[in-house]
Amino acid sequence: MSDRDDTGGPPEISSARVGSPAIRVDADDKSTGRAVYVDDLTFPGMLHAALVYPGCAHARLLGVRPDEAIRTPGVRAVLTAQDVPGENQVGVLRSYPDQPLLPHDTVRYSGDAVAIVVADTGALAREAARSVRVDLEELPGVFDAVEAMEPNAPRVHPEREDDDDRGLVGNVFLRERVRKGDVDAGFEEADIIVERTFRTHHQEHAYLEPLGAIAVPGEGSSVTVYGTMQCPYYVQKAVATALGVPLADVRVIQTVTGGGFGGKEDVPSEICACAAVAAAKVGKPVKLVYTREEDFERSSKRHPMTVTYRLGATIDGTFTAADIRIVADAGAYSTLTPIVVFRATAHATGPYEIPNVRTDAYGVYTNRQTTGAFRGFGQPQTIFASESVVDEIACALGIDPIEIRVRNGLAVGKRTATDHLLDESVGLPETLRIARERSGWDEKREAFAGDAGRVRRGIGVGAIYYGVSLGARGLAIDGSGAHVEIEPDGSVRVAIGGTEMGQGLHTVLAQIVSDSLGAPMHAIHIGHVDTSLVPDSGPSVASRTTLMSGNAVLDAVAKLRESMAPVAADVLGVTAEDVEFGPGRVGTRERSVTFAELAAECHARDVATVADGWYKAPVTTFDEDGQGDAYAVYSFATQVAEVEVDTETGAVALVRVTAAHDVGKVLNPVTLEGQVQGGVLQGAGMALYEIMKTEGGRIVTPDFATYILPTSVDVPEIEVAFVEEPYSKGPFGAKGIGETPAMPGAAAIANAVSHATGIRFRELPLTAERVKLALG
Amino acid sequence: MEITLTVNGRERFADVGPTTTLVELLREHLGLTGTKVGCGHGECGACTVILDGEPVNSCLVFAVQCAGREVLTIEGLADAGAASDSDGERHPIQRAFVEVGAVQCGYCTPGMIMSAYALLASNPAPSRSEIERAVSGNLCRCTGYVKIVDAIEKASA
Repeated sequence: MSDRDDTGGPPEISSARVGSPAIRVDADDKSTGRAVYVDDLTFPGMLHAALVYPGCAHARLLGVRPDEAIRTPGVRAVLTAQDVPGENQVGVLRSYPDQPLLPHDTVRYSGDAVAIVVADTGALAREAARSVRVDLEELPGVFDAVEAMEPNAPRVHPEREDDDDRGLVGNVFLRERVRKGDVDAGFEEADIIVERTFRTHHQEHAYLEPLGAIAVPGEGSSVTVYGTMQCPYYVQKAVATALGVPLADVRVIQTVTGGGFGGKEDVPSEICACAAVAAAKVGKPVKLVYTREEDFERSSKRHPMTVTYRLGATIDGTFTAADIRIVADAGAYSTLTPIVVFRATAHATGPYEIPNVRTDAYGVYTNRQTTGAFRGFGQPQTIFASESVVDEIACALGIDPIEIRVRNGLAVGKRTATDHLLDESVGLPETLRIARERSGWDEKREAFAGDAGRVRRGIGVGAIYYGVSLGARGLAIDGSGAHVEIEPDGSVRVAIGGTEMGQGLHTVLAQIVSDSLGAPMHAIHIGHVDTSLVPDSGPSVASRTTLMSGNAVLDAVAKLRESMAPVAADVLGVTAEDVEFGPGRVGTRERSVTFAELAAECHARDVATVADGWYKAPVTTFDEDGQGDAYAVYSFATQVAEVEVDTETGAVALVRVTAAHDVGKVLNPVTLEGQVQGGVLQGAGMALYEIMKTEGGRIVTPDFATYILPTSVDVPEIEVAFVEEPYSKGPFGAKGIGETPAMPGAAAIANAVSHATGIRFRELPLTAERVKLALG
Repeated sequence: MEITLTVNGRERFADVGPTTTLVELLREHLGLTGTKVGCGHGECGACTVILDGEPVNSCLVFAVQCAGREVLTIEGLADAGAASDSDGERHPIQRAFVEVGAVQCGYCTPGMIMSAYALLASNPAPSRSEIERAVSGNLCRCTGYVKIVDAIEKASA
């Protein structure tokens, strides 16, 4: 971030306090083309890599014959599994070592690249990669998780031994469960029981910047890796593992990152490790950037899930029991599936107090692209199921759908499905109230029901909760660091372990520093993550980064205030206890100095103006029966969707969305609103447009001409409202927002389409074809 | 083959191959990396530049087709702003994107701004739906487009 003074051209960045609108600190660089993304970087002598693909989804790998490619002028090396100097494993969870960086005997999905070609240019490398001969013996594949559970299904990992005691048999490698109360007794009490099965599909992240990495060999066995990523510390470990070198030899520097949404959580480890292995081999910097088609093949997706949901309620709409079965398609490797399935299991009831719950979830291998983190992390799929059944029960009992959610919804003093007694920061009731009011729910619900013409209107609701940060089954470190250093001129350098991927982290952290330290916004310089500056701070995922990095920064600032306050007091002739650090100035109401003056004085007196901060998340629990305080705190949201369904064509138009989100505390209303608007459209994409089609496991919609994203002409009117139920341990009371905007949309839209048509849809997306077929 | 063209008001020479695209010429030969590549097939709009006054996907235009023609990229946009409403360093559209909050990850931003520039050059006071149609070839996965359309509306006012 460049320095900006008041005489320059860029719009002035105000000294915005926390809670007031602040201009993004990176917006000027990004709107002038100055922001440097990974593919914009070059290094002297840099070579380019490309990957060799198997051309099928499941095969025995007999050999790789690179002879022709190696003879091509400009080609420097071809690497296969034998050339991985360290351990040939790249999966993020060390307890599931099932994913080689380069497969050596079996190809398990169509993106399972078997070799790396290094050449003078990217075009040359890609052309040579196509000339590498791969000898394969094709095996029967399995492309659907439910089919993969059949006893005679082809096995994706036949080397795995069955564990009958734990029910891990065949392609089932993971089980999670929740047992609360007495489910059979709960259904006995019920006056109505509804059981339905729902199916969801793969969804592509479609961040605009494809995955890319550059590895630059350094002294000895050291390497510096640049890349677009959410989790530099994952990459550091993956590169060290693949190279067989100490972590201290691997420095990872995040470049400006063009979107993530979960897709750049664990997957960048693969491309960065490939680049690092290639760079180590040729002794020169190596760049590897995926084409869009490769990005589709090699990146993770939202898990397709088959969810059977059985819910019982008494005549007054009180839920008595839920019985839920979740089958998640992990694709060829486990990657993040154990953590995604944990989250889906813990939250599967939706945001309701239900005394008796039985949830069983399965993670299943198939020969499909791997599935992993995507905004909502396993929850949008189960929410589609739970929110549809809740609606169906409400309608059957003649109770308003929002009213039934209010009656059963979580509130302070109520218990989640994991028996977590909620004692603070539960904004669900308020989000339901606001969404109902702002959307005009009551009038529209009644008015739309009378539609009888070709175009029928509908209005539907979806409510959710989301455990912030990693929770009890998270396997990464749930702490975060920060390093804050004040220069003699009052400029402040802040290094953090959390990543800016577009969500606006750097801006809210600058606001937090400005507000708590007294330095003006324009003086605060926040860098992208460099693993050599800040210790392992875990991943930037799970709506945790503002909370974790924000608290780490506040910890460092508290130390700086402690050392600087006596200096200010001495200069001003006041007592240190009376010194306040406000934006731009430090002191008391009557007497103060500018932050820059105080910085200069501290330097002149040899007072420390550097501090490290650390924040560790509270301990969470989740026992064998899925009981415990699974997450420290939860974010809540309610979205109401209005649709118009053309009964002649089946086309669904999304007209209006009201999004009410409990975030604990609004830090920057402008960026927060932008995050929600974007999430709403991602939810609409999942509900209405986005289908990944495959043939024999290979994606046949690997581009934006065939995989249809919402565009600017598909945007509904979006009203965003915030609820602030402060979290006592959050920075200024803030919780998380990253995930929740994309979560309730699909359920709300499906419920709205049902309201319009009288037909329940149990499979997404609601394309015109699917709706028209159902309408007859 | 050697070509001459005007890029951001300056005459530039380049030695390009028959299949070199305009975006490769800009990024790899001329070092103008502000123009982004999101798909390489003209489907995402991230590489949008102005060629003789018209917006094009620079990944779909061969460099040799640009010989003797004029190209405007995000790097040259500020100078293309009218003197009366430009601050000399930022074009009003750029200022509006920053002030309104239309930028998130930023990868679509240069192309989006160039499409907006082309729209406002031919239609200085577009309606909201005209703006939505004009940038419908520019994909954005972060913002939901609302603030992007707000920014273009603000820049047109």
